[in-house]
Amino acid sequence: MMNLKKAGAYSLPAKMKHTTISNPASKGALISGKWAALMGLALFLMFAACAAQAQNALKDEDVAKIEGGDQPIKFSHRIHAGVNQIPCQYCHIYARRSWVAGAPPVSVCAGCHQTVNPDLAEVKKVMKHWEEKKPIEWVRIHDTPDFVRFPHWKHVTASNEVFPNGVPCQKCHGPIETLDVVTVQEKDFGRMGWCMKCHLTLPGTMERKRAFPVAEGSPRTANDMHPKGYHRPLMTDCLTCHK
Amino acid sequence: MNNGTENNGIRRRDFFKALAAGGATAAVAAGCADRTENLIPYVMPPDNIEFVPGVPLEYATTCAECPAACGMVVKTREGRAIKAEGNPDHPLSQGALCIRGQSSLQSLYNPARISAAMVREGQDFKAVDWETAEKTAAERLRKAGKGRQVVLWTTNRSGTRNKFLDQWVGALGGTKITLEPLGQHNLRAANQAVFGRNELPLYRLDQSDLLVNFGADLLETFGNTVRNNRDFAAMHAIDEKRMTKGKMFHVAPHVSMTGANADEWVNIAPGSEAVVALALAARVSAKTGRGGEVRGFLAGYTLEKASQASGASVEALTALADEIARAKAPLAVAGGNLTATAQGTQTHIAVNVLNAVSGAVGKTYLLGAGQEIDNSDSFKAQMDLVARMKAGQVKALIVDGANPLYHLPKSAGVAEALAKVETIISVSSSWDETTRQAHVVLPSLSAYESWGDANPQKGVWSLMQPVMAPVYKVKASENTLISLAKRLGAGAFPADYKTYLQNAWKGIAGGSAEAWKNALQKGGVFSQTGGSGASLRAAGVRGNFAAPALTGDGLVLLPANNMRVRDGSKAQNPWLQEIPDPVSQVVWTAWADINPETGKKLGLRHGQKIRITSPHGMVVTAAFFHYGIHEDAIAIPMGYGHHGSGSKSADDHGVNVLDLLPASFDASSGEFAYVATRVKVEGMDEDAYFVQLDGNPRQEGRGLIQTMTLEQVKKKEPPHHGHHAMRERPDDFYRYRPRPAGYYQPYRWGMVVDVDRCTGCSACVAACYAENNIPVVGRERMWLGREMSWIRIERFLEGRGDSYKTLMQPAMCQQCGNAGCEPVCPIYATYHTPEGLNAQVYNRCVGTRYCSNNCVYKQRRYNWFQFEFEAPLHLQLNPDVSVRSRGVMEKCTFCSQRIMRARHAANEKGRDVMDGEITPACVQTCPTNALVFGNLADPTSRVAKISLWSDKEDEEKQKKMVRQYRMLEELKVLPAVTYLRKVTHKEIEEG
Repeated sequence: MMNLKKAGAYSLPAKMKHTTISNPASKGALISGKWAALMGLALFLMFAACAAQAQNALKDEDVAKIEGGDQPIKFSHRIHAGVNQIPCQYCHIYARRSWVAGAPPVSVCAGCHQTVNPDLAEVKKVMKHWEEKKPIEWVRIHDTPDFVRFPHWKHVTASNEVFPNGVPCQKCHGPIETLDVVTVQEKDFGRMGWCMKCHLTLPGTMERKRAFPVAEGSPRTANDMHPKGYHRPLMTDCLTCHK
Repeated sequence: MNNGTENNGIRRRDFFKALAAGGATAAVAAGCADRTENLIPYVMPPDNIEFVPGVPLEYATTCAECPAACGMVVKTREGRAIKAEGNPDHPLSQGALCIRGQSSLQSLYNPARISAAMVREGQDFKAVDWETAEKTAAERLRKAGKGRQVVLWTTNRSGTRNKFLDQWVGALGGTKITLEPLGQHNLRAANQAVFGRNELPLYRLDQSDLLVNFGADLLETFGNTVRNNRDFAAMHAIDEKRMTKGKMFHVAPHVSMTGANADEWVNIAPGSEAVVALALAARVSAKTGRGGEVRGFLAGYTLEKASQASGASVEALTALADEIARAKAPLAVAGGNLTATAQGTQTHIAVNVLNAVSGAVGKTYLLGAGQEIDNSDSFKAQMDLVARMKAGQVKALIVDGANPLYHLPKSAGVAEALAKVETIISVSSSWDETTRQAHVVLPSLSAYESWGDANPQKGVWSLMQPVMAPVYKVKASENTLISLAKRLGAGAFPADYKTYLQNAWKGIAGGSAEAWKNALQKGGVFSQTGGSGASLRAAGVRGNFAAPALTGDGLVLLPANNMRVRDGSKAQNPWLQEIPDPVSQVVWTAWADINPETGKKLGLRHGQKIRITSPHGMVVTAAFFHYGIHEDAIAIPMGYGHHGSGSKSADDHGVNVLDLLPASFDASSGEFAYVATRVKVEGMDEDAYFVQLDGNPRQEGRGLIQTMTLEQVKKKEPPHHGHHAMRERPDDFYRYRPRPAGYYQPYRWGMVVDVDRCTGCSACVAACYAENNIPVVGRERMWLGREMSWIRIERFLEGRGDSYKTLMQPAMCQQCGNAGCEPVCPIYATYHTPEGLNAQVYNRCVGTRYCSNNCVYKQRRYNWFQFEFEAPLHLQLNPDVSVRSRGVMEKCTFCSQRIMRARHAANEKGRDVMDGEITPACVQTCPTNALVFGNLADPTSRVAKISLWSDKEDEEKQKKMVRQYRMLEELKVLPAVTYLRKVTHKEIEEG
């Protein structure tokens, strides 16, 4: 919360909305590549306009007050996701489609910052990476061990009693949109016990709704079915997550 | 990579830098938190809208490991190739790959690959920038001048590349020589003589019911082995509808894997194949009435004479001849090293005659089908070149993948010849003996990174495309050659080879961009061409058919074909060294097969170090007592004994059998004579250091691999197998443990292995290595019994002497329902999943090894060390599978990562996983479909119908099954793997 104190002139909106995109994919099919591209374009136009209003207000001396942490570039999630309300998945485009959320490629940064605040010293650093075609070596904060398969998309596109529109990113990553320097907000993040806190207690995270009927001749039996039509998706089976 | 080190995992930073992938978490080491990692996203995501990190992309391309050119689909993750599988659309491979195709990934990530342009400095090489090296090469070529003094030495491939090389070398006025150690010139010459057709035949094994094999290594390296294996299974495995089964005779002095699959072995003296074939033809001709035009000639060849020459009994030969005469569609095949003698063409002529009189020609032996898998120049042509080099007539030599210094015998004098050449430029992709002699090295990209095509058979045009960005910043050899030609102002070439290829493909696939795209997607343009027969020309059947003259005295040296490292060019792939030879079960080295009787006479013992001397050289290797060899012969597999090639996995392992051979050849075809000398064998006062993994080669009545006769199958009378003492064990030796409710619903994964279809080709083993990040541990650790392979080909011998039998079957974790491993784990690292797998949670395992001690099938593998994957082999690691660290037990999980992916995919579609949606790596690549995987809990699945497993141990269902058995069933561990008994024509005596 230390970072919040230093927020200075940029106070946060009183009530934060979840910044996940409500996702048609939660119904079943994954969103296709083409759709993502079109959506990305539309969003870009929206936010280019939005951000253009804010850009006059942000100056190098304001940025100097912001903490940068160990990262090579002072990137503030508070300014991007909080103040300017850019949805998480505008940049982390693979979260709803893959195992990994994906750090945005430099091209995404450059896409906006060619017009948005191009004169800021930190932005110039980004644009230098873009011009030299050199990747930015961010310090990884949220890491799952390599022996774990964690399906981001299963969480982002979840649809159940507790999370009808997907698990909000903040549920695991904390109030990212209020942070200048991202740190691990949840104690024991990425540890098995921490995962199981939800998966052993919250309905819908232990069982998943079975949208499809039991086929005739299927070996599934009533024993396998929850009275409300859920089935056990092996949430507590080791191999589900351990590879 | 062969030695375990204390190194903590592979170099993670390296790994991620090389990838620069969008936040992909890759499985590299089972470490815990408390470390800083970088997150390095792309600058620009790949120009491919389908690209999603974590989701594999697959590209169709062509395998370049041998001239058979199977279609291949390469799975890439985050821009790097991690797995090769057969292309199901390809007519030759039909979705399968052989052991070498599976290992082709290690040619891409070969640690001995040359990473930059090099210029010789004294004995060493100095890396220079590409421009400098290319300029130096062009300068040297200009100095050499245009004309015959420029020679391009290349390897055997088919397709557009050959035309390109001809054009290139033509522009320089030079000559192109193609080196293929496993050439088929004898066969070509024999077809010219007997049928007037200078071409290679198409064998239709699948159409035949009787296969008479004169020593060809059909299932190992001869022709397209994927196709041969598939067709052999179609012919030889039992057809349970019609209750028929083809028969195979192996007529040869040596039994390799192909021979081990035969129903009967006719042991003949080396070199007597021609006489035997002609004598058989004489009797068959008399019985069938075919071959009137050669009957007079055949009259001189009686079975008695053949028996005298070959040592086989008259009865055996008569029985064989009668079988051939009776068969509806017999086929005789000759080839491989055993028939490559100074009389090789004559042997093939004799076998052709047999095919003609038996009616095989036009039915199972087809001509005009356009087999293009051998486009090489003969050994004689290589020797002519060596002579020209020695005479100083070659000023510039461009080495394009060829390795004559290794592949031609020492007696050919290649080393002296190379020393006389002023300029040697190598455009090979990895270091080898010949490239080490080059002055300028302009390394090539590997097949996975470049454009190309192949045309192994008329109508089959297979495309090769880059499936990933190059591992090193080097150029495709074709582009290097184009660039050199441009510098010399020679010839007219397009800007790059891709353009050249696309121009050529306008005539193959059609000119449109759409056609090119379709061909790329499908892997090529395929149409099937049938062949036809040809009439026998009696005038061609003449000459000397007696055994060839051999140099030296002692035992006849048989340089055996090698399924794994082929001619030796694959010795750089560690998987191919680590996977045991299916027959001898030897790893990492060469050995000498000697008949135990001969061994005793010479005073040798199994495993003794022996000195083998011919008039041309001497080698020291291990004596291996093998019933499957003629008493007058000794066999050493080819492909080992590299020295100074620069590859850790190739160098100093075993001996090169070519060191013992004279540079002699068959006069009519120019083909190298492999069987050309006799050798003296002396025992040394020492045991050889060679590793044989079979433990006990005898089953001792345990019934691990069971057989039954065709008659028994027809009568539905399964034989009784298994150890009596074992069967008398109390029922509660392993007490059944109750399963929690909900287990095995809706899935219980299981497998069925048809031993009758398994040939022992070991492709499944290589596939498992590739899919599951299994480390290579090297010879020393294998000697300690610490091999890591999750699936192995078990080999057992039955009987002794000439009538011995070899049995082979794949064995993997049996995923027991009442497993021994699970209850003994003190920390629940191994447990039974609700889907029936004996899971292993690697990061939970503390390494007590209780589970391994309690596994009745010896299927668990322990990481005694932190095994390293030598760069750049680590780039091949499958991110879906953990790389296990030291102190962790590991095992087969039926590719649980594939099961997970299929389950997720089915969930997205809102249904259960359907039959056939999951194929573990071993099942996927099996060319003979010996393995079936699926859901045992679904009674409609393919696997459930033929498996003994059922939820309630349904005895009624089990009673109806005839061929089914489970390994060590009496222990009541309820394995999920059911085996189907091998079906034989004659009963095999156990013991």
